[in-house]
Amino acid sequence: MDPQVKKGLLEFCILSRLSREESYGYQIIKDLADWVELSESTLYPILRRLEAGRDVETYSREYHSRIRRYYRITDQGRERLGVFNREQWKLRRILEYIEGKE
Amino acid sequence: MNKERFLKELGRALGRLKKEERTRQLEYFDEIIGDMMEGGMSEEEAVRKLGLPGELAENILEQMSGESFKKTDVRGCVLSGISLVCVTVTLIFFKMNRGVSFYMGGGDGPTSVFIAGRVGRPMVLYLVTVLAVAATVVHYIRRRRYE
Repeated sequence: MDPQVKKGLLEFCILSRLSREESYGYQIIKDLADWVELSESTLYPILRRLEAGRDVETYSREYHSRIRRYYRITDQGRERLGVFNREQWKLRRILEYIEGKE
Repeated sequence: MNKERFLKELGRALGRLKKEERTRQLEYFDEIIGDMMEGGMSEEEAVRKLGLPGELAENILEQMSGESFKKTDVRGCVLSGISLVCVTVTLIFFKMNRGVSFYMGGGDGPTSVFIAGRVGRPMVLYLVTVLAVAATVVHYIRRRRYE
């Protein structure tokens, strides 16, 4: 997939994943693997960006005597995801145009 | 490559980032490697799957926002500059006071005489120099601690 388009969509893939359940880095990559290829070094900057934009918040918890950082969607993040989903028809129209159907 | 060496090299490659940000990233990769190993990979395999630290860092640095990077330390530069000038001038005065023959670049006869005539014990200059150097040192110590 085109890297620029993918980059934008990945944010919403991650928000959607976290809207179902909070999670951590490696688990997010594994969960999304069936839908979109996401490398470890791609995930980190996106999580950081979502955190900086307050769409996601993090906390650390001890797991098997090491520290793991968990990510949780915020109300603002849910709202953003909701807006994106409500406006998906706009995205579909664009895709149809690109495809030459319209 | 083992985890320790991988993280060390990655940390070095991410040197342009603020310390806090760099620490976060190393923690992230440390955690990922730990999770991979728990999933059945060996340490070597996990590290190999992530790729070379240099390439990884390049990939990440491209994606990071501007505020993650170290800022130019304007105050530090100014303080260092002032200190350098003060120390130089002080050293020049020391030399002149000791009566060592001194030649100032571009200074012709009358200028030298003029300066030499004014050389006493410029306590104010010494004081300013000590203060400037002290301020610079304190600035860098605080900066290092803050980072």
